[in-house]
Amino acid sequence: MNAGVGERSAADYLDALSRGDRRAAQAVVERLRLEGMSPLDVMTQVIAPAQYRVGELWADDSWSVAQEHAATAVSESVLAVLTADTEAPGLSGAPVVVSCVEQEWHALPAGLVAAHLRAAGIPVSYLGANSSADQLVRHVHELGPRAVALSCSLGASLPRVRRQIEAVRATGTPVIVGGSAFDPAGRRAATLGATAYAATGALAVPAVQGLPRAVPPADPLVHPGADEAVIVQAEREAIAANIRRRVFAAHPSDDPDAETSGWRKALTDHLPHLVGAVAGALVADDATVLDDAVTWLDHVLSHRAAPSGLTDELVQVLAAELREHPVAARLLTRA
Amino acid sequence: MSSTARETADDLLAPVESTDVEARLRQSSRRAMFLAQAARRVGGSMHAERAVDLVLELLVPEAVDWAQLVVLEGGVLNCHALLRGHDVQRASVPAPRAGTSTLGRVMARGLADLSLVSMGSEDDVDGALASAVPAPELRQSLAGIRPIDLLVIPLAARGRSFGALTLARHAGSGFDQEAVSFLEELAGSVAVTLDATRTLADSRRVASVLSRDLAPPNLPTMPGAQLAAYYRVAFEHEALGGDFYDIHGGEDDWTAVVGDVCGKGVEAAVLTGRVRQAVRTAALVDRSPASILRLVNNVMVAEGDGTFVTAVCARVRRAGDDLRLDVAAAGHPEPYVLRTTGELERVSAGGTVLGLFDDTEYADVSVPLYAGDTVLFFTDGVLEAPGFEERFGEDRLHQVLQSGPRNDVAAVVETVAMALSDHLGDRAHDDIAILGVQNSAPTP
Repeated sequence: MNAGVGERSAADYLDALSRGDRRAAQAVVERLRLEGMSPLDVMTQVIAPAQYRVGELWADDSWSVAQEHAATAVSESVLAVLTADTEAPGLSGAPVVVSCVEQEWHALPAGLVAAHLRAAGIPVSYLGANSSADQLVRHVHELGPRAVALSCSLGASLPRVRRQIEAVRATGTPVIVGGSAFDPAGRRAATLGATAYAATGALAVPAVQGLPRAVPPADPLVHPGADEAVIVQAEREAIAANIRRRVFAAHPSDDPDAETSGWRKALTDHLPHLVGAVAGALVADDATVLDDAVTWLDHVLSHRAAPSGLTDELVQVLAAELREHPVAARLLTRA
Repeated sequence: MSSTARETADDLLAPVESTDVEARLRQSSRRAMFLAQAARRVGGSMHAERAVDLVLELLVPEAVDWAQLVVLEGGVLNCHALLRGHDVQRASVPAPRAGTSTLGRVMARGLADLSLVSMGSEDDVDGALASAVPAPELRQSLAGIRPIDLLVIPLAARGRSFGALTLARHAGSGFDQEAVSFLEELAGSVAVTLDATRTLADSRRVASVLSRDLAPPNLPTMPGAQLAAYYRVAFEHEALGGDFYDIHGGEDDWTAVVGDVCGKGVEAAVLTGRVRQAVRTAALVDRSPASILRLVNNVMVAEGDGTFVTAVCARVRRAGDDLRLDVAAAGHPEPYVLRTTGELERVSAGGTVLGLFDDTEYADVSVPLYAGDTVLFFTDGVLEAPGFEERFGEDRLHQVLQSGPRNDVAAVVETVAMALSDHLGDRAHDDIAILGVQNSAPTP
């Protein structure tokens, strides 16, 4: 399969996504499968680049939220079929449970990991997107898996990764983590108590092979900021609501609908993630988690006609809201 | 074996001079730590086979060179063995008779047995070992350890031996009386945990068989229509709840039902199974949703156990390019029709909750579903979903549906599910069910 076919199909696929046309997207994938492309290659060469582009198009305000949601929903249902295609019923032994961290909806990284592991002859029990900590632990109890592989895409989800690592390691089961919420060197993963880190889907295979059979419960986090992470995470919605009120008051609008579109809407939707990224930076003991979130939000706001300097203002308001939490406040001064 | 592991083993099991107070103290504290660690590690796993592996991996290589754990299950002896540096090996053999082998004797008497299998012809050694290690393939993994000190300890819980632990060390490393006592204590605590995981596995098996019919069904393939559903329970560790949906029928005449029984968790799920079955049976008698609800209500009132259910029931029929919906409801949130134009219509079907009053009548409301239109049934767990400041509510649902995708029912349902998940955060919530049916005839 040459790269050209992949690129052309990726364009067709993106076109189907832009219309939210699931059957057309499914048809592109089925055609490639008939031509002999593996599910793994379809994921990496067609779906991954298309979904990446969808994220960009939304961030640039070229696509509406509705279009982005429709496209993502289409890709998720196509992925579910593709991941089921990688199932290898002949494999025996304790499986690896592959899941997204709770409250994340993008199943692509987890699907890739499942496909890579299965291709290497490792049995997988695939939970996909948005499985709760309770569901994950119930699966671990039922299956007695060799390991749990947890994918996490957003810095704001790192506190939930920590919670799930604690829950899984309490059963003696090793945890591998991966996804764009982690740094390439795996420092955040190690801090959070993961047994191993896989920088790519393919690296999940040697990571699983090198795992100990059993692990002790996760050590408590003792680094400065670990306690603050718990508080900020618990209060992130209240903090986000206060910031929103203060920023909107500083930039009043005569338009009664102003808050349902443009930068105000984007800010309302994403402030909880920004505050979550503070908790993520604190729990992972890594200020760059917050830097990434700020850079990204700045990009989103600047494409939605936000007043200039809004991001800096946001960071200052956030620092003021968090003034009673010294480690968080230091992070924000730095950002 | 790494030097650390060897030192640990010596530390744990080596005889210590009774006069060397400091060494005795060190060994006692090492043993106490090891016991505590064993309880924590093995206790965390609630999976029977994995718990066995954890016991073996705890013992090898930290305490011994080789360990076997056997468990008696239904007349078969399941044997698991681990040689240091290797993976756990498994084999099954017929259960031993009490008088004829070391294993049988240990399990029957509930007393440990220590023996030295010394050098001799390999056949003699193998014969001697077979008494404690009945599976030939597992005996092979012992070939490198000669002569062997072999300790067999019963695993007992609830007053009965259900298995045994066989531990091997190179002769000379040995097991003195104190080491035996320590390992018996370890086996005692491990046995209770293993017994608990086995009991749990049994009840889990029973539960999973019983719950198979209570979990939401796979959606059927419906010609000319696309279906999508979302289901989330309040008690996620139980995986079952009081909301339910079902869709059945054939050709171009289908019945869909979405409902909510009072209560949550397993008790509620059992009732959902009965209601779903009653709906299926009633649909065989008369396909009108109003008649179905009337029959189900009568059944529930006749049973008279004070439970009640809200439900919305719809008949979905093909009429050319359109689908015709007949809808009846019993105290349930009204379904929405999302038109391809973006208009949102509520299907105003109202009726009394099921299970409370005898001879309640329901009425069918007819609505056309044009090509590309979607009807969305949902339970009040959607509207009531708690947020930071307020419940999810109708206004937010309208806004999500009107600004969201329309041309794919999976995308519609997923969009609502994502909005709900964002709104809920980590808050506790009620059961939630959503069922979408889209007329997938080509849009004109």
